[in-house]
Amino acid sequence: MKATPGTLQEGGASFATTHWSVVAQSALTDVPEASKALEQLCEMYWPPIYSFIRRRGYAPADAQDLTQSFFAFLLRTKAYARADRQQGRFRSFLLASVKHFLSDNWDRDRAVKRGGDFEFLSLDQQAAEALYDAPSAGDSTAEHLFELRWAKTLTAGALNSLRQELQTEGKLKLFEQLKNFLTGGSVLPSYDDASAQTGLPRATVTVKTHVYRLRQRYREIVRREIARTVSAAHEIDEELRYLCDVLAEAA
Amino acid sequence: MNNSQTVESKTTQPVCAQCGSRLDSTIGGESICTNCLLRSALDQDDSDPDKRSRSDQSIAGKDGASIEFGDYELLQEIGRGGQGVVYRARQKSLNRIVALKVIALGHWATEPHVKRFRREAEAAARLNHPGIVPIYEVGERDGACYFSMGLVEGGQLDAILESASRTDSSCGEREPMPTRSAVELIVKLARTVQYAHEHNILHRDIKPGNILLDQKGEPHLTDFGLARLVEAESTVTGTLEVLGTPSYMAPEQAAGNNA
Repeated sequence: MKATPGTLQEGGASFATTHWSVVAQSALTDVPEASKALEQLCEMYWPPIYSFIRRRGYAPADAQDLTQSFFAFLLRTKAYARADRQQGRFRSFLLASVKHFLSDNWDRDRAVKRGGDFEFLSLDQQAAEALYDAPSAGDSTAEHLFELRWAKTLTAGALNSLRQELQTEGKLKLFEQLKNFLTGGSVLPSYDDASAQTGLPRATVTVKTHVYRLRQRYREIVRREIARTVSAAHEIDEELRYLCDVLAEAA
Repeated sequence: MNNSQTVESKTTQPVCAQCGSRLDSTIGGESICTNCLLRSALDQDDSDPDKRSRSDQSIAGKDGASIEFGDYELLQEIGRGGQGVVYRARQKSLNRIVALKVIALGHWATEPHVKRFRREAEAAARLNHPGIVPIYEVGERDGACYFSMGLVEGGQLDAILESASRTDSSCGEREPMPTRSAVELIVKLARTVQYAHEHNILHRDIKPGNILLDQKGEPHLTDFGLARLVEAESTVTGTLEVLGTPSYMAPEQAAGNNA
């Protein structure tokens, strides 16, 4: 397979743009690009942080404010400057950071006010609550809920990336017709139905090949995203399995 | 199996028809199974379906994502018929790849039927012959009978003959198997059947679809009595039902004597 710069190929990973390197760059420099990248990271991980804070007992409105404040706190104080990627995964770093943030004896009223300067994610209360995963919240710890939402965010985000890539290539319709083979659902997809829908010749084999390629590309995107959150290539599979287990437990 | 049936949990929250997980619609508004989706990224099968063996290419079924079935991890559907579904599966306890046939019993199957299936299956499992696909395990699970057996990678005789005729014949007519090859095949099969009869086991449905050729072209008989037995016992009028495949049925079978 021909390697594409900046993408993850089977068995390997490009760590050129890891989340850890974004954190490090932002900590060491004041260039706007670094802060912008960090802001994007904060937006990406807003849902798991919100879920964690909600499960800690904060009301929806307060949890939204505290989530905003937490990310503002990260950006303003550069608390992440002390983060060591060798110490673990980006997921663990964020979880430890939000725990520290909530337990820290500082003026949260001021924090909320300062957090208002940033608008990482604009959500109404209902949309934010949907991200909280209330059906799973009853018998879950805040840490577990954080990991569950992290796994779901990664899973759905990678699907969205795949959709965008195929849209760029003019294959959005094909993606929409075949995506159920990846995403599952209340109705099992059938190759016969898919071949009738797509009108592809040599229906079964051709449709299966397209599904196979779709799955391959999805796998590459997931691995690429996970590679950005771990400190070494060998941790990708381990992290992937861990997140699969988190989702399976919640099923 | 009804693929178009919508699956819902007791609380009416939609669940995934494949793995039973609650569907998630919190991101992007679409109902997706994050469990199946992320697990698809774990799939290590890198082979392109167009480049797999013909027996795999002939499959028309569901997606190949793995599903747990007791001690078995269902890897891929490799055959489907009125009697059930055959999967390529991994037996977890022994870490070996097997063929697993799962047969729905039907609503009217009773305990005696299941016991008889098990008795007959155990008898068939005692057959030890290179021309017979070995049966490893027989059981019941989730309202279905199943048995695991050796996986023969080549394919079914009828499918192989059909494929060969398509390749060899420019006018589209089916080319017969060379006489010598056909005779050699029949001799081997006759000896295999003789061995089974000596052990008081009847196949009940010998036909090209139940003859598997391995990668060396050696024939292996599969489905010794089991599927037909279940089909008979699961049918309300089982005792009077004529069993077997009409094109390959013995005269006494056609007359309704099911042995």
